[in-house]
Amino acid sequence: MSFRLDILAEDGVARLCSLNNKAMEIKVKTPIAVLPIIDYLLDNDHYAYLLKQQNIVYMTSSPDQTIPISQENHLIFQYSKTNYYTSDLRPEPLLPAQVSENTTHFFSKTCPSSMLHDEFAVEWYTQFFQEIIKEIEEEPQKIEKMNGFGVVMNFHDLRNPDILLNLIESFVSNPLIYNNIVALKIDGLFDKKMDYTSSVDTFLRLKKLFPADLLYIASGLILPYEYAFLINLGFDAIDLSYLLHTGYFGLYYRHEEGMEWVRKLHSIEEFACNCEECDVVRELLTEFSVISDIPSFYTNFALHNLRCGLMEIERVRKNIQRGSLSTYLERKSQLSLLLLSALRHIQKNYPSIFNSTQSLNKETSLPCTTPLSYHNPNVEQYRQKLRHNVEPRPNTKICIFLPCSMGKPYSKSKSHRNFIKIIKNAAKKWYKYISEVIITSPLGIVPREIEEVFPAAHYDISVTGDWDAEELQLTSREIVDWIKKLPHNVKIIAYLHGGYQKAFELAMQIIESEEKSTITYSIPSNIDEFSDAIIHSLEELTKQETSGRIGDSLSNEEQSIKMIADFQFGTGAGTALIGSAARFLQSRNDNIKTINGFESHGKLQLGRYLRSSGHITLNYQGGERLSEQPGIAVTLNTADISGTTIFKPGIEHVDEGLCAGDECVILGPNSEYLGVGSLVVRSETYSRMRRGAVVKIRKLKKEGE
Amino acid sequence: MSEKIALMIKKQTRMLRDRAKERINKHTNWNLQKPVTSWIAEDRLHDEMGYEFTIIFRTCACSWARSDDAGCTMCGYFNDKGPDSILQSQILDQLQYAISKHLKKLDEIQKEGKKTTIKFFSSGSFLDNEEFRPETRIEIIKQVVNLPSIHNILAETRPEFVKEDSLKSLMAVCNEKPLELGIGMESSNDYVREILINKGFSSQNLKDSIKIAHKCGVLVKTYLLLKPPFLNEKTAIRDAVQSIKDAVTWGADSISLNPVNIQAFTLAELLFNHQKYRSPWIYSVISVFQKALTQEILDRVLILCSPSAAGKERGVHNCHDKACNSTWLKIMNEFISTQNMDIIDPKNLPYEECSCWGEYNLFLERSPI
Ligand code: SF4
Ligand SMILES: [Zn+2]
Ligand SMILES: [Zn+2]
Repeated sequence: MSFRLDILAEDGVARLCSLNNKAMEIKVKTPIAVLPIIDYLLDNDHYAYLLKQQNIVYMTSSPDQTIPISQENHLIFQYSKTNYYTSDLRPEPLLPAQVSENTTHFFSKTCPSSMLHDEFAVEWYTQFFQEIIKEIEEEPQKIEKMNGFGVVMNFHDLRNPDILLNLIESFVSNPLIYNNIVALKIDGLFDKKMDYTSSVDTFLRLKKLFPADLLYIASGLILPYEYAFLINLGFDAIDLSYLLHTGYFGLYYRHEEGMEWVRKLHSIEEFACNCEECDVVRELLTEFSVISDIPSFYTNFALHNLRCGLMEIERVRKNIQRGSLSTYLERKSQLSLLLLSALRHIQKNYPSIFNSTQSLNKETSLPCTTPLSYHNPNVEQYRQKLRHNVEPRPNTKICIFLPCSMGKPYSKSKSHRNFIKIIKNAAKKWYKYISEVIITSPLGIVPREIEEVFPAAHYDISVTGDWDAEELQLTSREIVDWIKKLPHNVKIIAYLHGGYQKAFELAMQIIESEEKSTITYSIPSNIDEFSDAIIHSLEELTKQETSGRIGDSLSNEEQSIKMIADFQFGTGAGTALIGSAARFLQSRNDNIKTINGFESHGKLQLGRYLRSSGHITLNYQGGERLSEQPGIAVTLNTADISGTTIFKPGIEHVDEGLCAGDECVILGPNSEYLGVGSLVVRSETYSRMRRGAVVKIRKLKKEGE
Repeated sequence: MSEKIALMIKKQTRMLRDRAKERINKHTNWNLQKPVTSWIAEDRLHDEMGYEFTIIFRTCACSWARSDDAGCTMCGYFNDKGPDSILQSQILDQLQYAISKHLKKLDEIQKEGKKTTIKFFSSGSFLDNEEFRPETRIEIIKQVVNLPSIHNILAETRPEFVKEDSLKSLMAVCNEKPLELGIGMESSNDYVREILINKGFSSQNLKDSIKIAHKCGVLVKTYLLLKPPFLNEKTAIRDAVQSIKDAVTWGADSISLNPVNIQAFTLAELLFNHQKYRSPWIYSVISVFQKALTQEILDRVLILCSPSAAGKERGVHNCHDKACNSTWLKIMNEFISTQNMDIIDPKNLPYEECSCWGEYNLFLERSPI
């Protein structure tokens, strides 16, 4: 009996799933390590210990391999792995006679020589797929009992892996396969490091052919430093066999440096690692003079390598949980050219896959330390949302551009406290007509009102002042877009220096050449000039009559929530949510602000604002006010819902662009408002999944309401 | 099984054979009076240790390799072929050359009180009239049958040439000395034999030929292949184990297990060059014997194994360590010369001596090749 895969959370394309086996009550959380059961090693205590770890799946190479160890808490993946035919040329059955309660069977056929030529491989796979389908058709009751199966696709040494895609497409489109497949093991696709980027392309294309609620296992010649990247591509599991192999070949894995020949390591000092295997070797080295004299050294190194793999998977898991996988990946790629070019490749070619799938419902820190961070998916998503959703405050009369600060949110930093003091002193009662915009890299700009949203209050840059050409270009683009949104008569003051000033001036040049008109602005060079500039601008303004526009009546706090709502839900959401007024109640821990409407004496709860992430969660009434907001709805095919979760079959439509973790409004079949919730999976995943949770319900319409 | 795959294997083999042909055709200075090679070496005979006197004739080559079917996927014997115009008298010259070269040694063996098997190889079929005319065959036997120490005669052939009349005519001149036919059965599985090896005959053909031979009082030795191209190590072991059991049932008098060695211009070599084929491990040979044999079988059937290129990259080998290979080849040879199961009892084997035993176990479970 196989497992059921539930997607628990997504961070971009990477995700956390749980594999549930009902029969044995086993639950494993991805990313998981797939560990081969090697009979020969079973006597080894260290290996036996590793097999007891959590989030490990056992892998047996053939149905006849027995597992002599206790396996109650572990799932087993079992491969049919045959390419043998009987004398009458009938394939040996791929399905085992019996599958135990915790075993998932994988259809697999070794084709050791696909390289003969790609044509051969195509033929081989055509035959393999036919055989699978034939066997399933012949034994439907067996498939039922197995409760799903896996398939192994071997891309080993194909000159052009893409030639298999058409074949695979028609294979998967067979309902017997599509409905029953639970896992896909991809072998050898990432073996050729020279073709890494095209392997990435192939994998992304391949993924589109399969349902989303499928376990993806990466296998082949892959080393721990690649794991984060592969998991970021959407793999859920890593087959660690290769790490054992490398040990027996005499290779020792060193973090970030890849493999090293053991025979080249001589001294104890070279074992920087503190794992038990290395301890053993260090100890034995006092007895034997050279490593190769230690009788067990190959096994020690194989197990050391295995541990490195297991540890790396744990690190990746932590980073996904924190929402910091992208940062982790950027750091890893600093040490590997392979990863660097692979990451650049996906940044450049797949923004729609990796950027617009990023949820900004996070509170992790986001160190931006390399040029790769300019295009970090969180950063890209932020810029995208800012550009499309957020408008400057309509009552803006003066727009002041300021440099960013180390401390976040900016207004808590010393420099910004000072800026604000100067502005307030200069502006007095006109303060609310001034909007402040912070220039920064790599985000571009951060309007003061939304300075708490992720990642504006969470990113970190190591050096300020030195701006490279790309930063200048990216930032000036954001400044240009913001200024174009400002009302015409707005005065612009840029209290900037260095790179900030350069970026600003570049923006001015761009506007001039694009708009064919000049913009007046002032760049004060010291505090006094700054203060004077504000006073001077105000004098001009107060001469003109200020018309009472809608925005006028809103307080700064209201304006801020309005813009944050726009940022999060789209243009117009803020107005829809708080209308003409709102009240805020600070919770005791300072992190949560309750947003109340003015109705019912200010007691109508609309939602909550979390300062640590700059994220709004909606209450029933808040959701109702946003029920017509485009792009944030999940439409059900029934109004009859209960419980805490909405599953795939109950859903008619999920608005495009919604990410996992995003707030959503729940609508009934006639678009009637039902409640609010948050998404477990992004809209694209929803459309390709066969079953599973899509929305966590927060508030539903109560009976009789 | 898709016919297309079988055809692709055949086509690829034919391409390689054509390349071999091209190279052979450039060859001009043959010495057709000399055999390809001949030697005398220690050998396990049916009842005792003795010697083999092997002569490899240069002929017009194996009929199967010559044909459009292009021969077997691991066999490079074709490379030793002579010109199509080779004369029967030249074949007899080759015999004379070999006899005179080794006569002294045969004398010594006789004095030692030991016995010799004379083996006729041609990289083809001794019973194929194209390679050896019937009168040539009779003449060859007549010339060797009374040489010193010669105790029995072995000739290799494909099963389709095993005919009652030709066997009877040979038996007539054998002078009561046992005649044995060596047939390349390779595997008892038709898929492995006919498709992966492109052998061109069925199990039935083989069983029929064994029957005919036995009827004529001729013994049969079957050659089994360990690890044909396209089978991974683990499946290959399974296939060889089953094949030994079947060969015993089908009546083989002796069985020689041949681990594949990489020969020039073969599909096996092509795969090997692309690192898609690894010649079998010595551990696998031992493991096949352990799994397939019982003392009861050994009492009835002689088990042999004399691999070419043993211990080398292109032949059966373990790791790169010379000591490891020689240890294990010694164990294998000792088992062959004694036919004693105790020698290969896992309890008695030095598995932990070399680290490659661990590597082998992983390879067995995980490697696609
Ligand atoms: S193995 Fe035998 S039958 Fe096959 S090609 Fe070689 S000589 Fe001919
Ligand atoms: Zn270690
Ligand atoms: Zn060895």
